[in-house]
Parts: sequence; C-alpha cells; structure tokens
Amino acid sequence: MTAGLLTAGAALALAGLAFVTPAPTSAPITPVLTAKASGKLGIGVTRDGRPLITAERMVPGSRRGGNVRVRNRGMRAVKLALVRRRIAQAAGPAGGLLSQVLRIKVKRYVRRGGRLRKKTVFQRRISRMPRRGLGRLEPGASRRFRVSLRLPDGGTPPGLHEGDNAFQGAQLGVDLVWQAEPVRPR
Amino acid sequence: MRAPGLLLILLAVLVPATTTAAFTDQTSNAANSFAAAANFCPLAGTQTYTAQADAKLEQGPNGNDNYGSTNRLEIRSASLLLGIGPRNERSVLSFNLPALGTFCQVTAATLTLKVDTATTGRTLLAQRVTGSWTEGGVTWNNQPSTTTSNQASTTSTSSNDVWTVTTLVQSIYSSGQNNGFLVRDQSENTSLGSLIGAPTQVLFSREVGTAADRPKLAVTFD
Repeated sequence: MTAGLLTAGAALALAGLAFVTPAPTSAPITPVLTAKASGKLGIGVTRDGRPLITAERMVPGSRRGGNVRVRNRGMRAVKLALVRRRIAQAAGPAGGLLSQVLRIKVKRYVRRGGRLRKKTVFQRRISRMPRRGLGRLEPGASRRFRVSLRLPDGGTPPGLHEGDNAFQGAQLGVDLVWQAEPVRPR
Repeated sequence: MRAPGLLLILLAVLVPATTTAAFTDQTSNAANSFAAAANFCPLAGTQTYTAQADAKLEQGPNGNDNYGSTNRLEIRSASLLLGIGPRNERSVLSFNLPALGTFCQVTAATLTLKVDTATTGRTLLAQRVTGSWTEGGVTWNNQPSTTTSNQASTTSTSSNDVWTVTTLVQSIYSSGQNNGFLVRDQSENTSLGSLIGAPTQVLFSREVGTAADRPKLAVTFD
C-alpha cells in the first residue's frame, strides 16, 4: 500500500513536466505535454488536460475538430485506446440532446509516398463510444490524430421545433481520455 | 481470527488497484465542448426592408408614361369617361431580400404602404409579380405579368394599408424570382373616371422624404 502511494506521488510530481515536439509540416498542433503516471509507462498528448475541441454556434452539417499527437514516453510498448468519459449536456429550448446525434470521428495521420494523409480510424455517435482501441505504440514513438465532432444535417425539419431544430441551443461537454496499457515487446 | 480476514479483504481490494496504477497510464483532453447555435437561421427574427424600386401605373392616355421617380403611388378604380382622363391605377414595388440560406424559412411577412389620402373600405389586392420590370421603364402598357395565386387582400384605411404576404414571400423564395408585388383595387372599372370621385388610394413611394413613410416589407425568418 505504501509503495502504491509512493508511485502515485511520483506520478503526480512528474505530471507537470513538459516536452516540446517539433512543429509538424502540414497540420499545426500545439506542444505536447506529458502526463507520466509511472516509471514504466507514460503517454503524452497535445493540450494535456485541456479541451481539444471548442465549438460554438454550430449548425447542422458543421464539424469542428482538433489535431492531437500522442507520444509514448515510457519504456514499454503500449496499446493505445481512446475512451469517452463524462458527457455533460444541456438540452435546447426544444428539448433535443446533442448526445443523441453528435458524431465523433477519429482520423490518423499517416505518411504515404511522402505525403501526409488522414485515414479514418472510426466514427460513430458519441454516446455509443465508450472505448476504442487505437493500436500499438512503441516506446518513444508518437502518433497523430484528428478528432472531430459533427452535428449531422438531418434535412429540412418538419417544424420549427422538430428535426434538427430540436437541437438549437443545445450544449454538450465531453472528456476524452487517452489510455495506454502495456503489451509484450516484439 | 478476525485480523487475517481483514488483511485478506484489504489485499483483495488494494492489490489489483495498485497493479493497474503501475502498469497503465492515461491522460486526457478534458472539457471538450460543442454548442449548437441558439437558432440555426442567422436571419432569425423580423427584418424590415424598404422598397428598392416602385412606380405607379396609369391606364389611359398616360399608359405609356413612367412614374418611377414620383414620391407617390396610387391605386384607383375608374373606367374611361368619353375616351379621356385617367382610368385604373396600380402600383408595383420590389424589395431586396437576403438569400434564405439552408436553415431559414419565412414564417410571416407583411407589406405596409403608408397612406397619403384614401378612399377607405376598398378591397385592395397584393399579387406576386412574375415578370421583370424596372423602376425607370415600367408603364401601364408594359406592366409585368402577375399571378393571382395566394394573392393577399386588405381593406383600405386612412393610415396604413397592410397586406399579409407570407405565402407570396415564400413563393418568391421558392421560385427564385424576386420581382416584387403589384397592388391594385380588387374591383377595377367601378367608377366613371376621376371626374366623379373614383375610389383612389394615394400612397407614399420610396422617393418620399420621410424614411418612415416609405413602403416596407417586414419578413420574419426562423
């Protein structure tokens, strides 16, 4: 138990360390902050602890996203996963909840033929995304993703407070957690 | 006997947690937010537009004359007297309307013309103009075509003549043709010329000096 507390204390102490990654060539992202939870594993992510997406005055069909780099700062290979945690939301005057329709899309940046491209990893309704694996990440390696949220366009609403109009004024907040679990080295 | 039992329970609870903490890591992008616009229509609310072109049309000997620059519009119901003198009069008006956009619809619209002098109690029509016209060129004899579909009517007053033109404005948007409105007496040719007091509405046009007196179209978007 004592050892566990010490480990946690060390993790908190390390959590404030910051690392800066080279600026990307095509899609600018902010420096990576590392939250290192133990001496054996540690992942860092762009805008650590802060929002990646802040979208206001969205209309049906609109999408807002952010680029993120996840880095394995530890000494072991890890399995990376993205977990949707807390959803906090407020309905608009017409009662629509964004969790009913808002879709999350995660694309991975891959370099092919010297060009940086985005490959869709997954997309689905945010309320139906509890946890999603993102593959293996070797020690010291990093991977870049684009995470976006989109309010689908449901077509012409049948009434002023129906269809897409039900979501007018609705708000949603969501925490996205990047998790790393150890895997056996190759 | 009780102490080892408690120890086992504590181990059962704490050991997995400690193990997990040592071999997993996580970090987050917390408090992402997504807020829908309070109204998807950027034009939401009532917008008022002043006429951008208007003219009266006078039947009879002046049927080829253009009155686009005068500061009055007229609506008159009168038949020809001995082949001379003015007959019926109508007026045409158009308004610059914004693009509707994907998320807007017209929920109400009123056309208001301020009265200078009036014959009250007459039924006046507002029709959607389907043909093109220009303020400086339109006359009775070349007046644009109109449609009676969804035409609006009102009863003339001595202050403002107001037509509810919601469906007409909706038609303007759905047709993609904004040629404005034509206003006229519902029952033309009812009086023998101006000599014996034909029912006439004299209304202010967009050229009048006082802006508040100019023809207005109020459109409510949502």
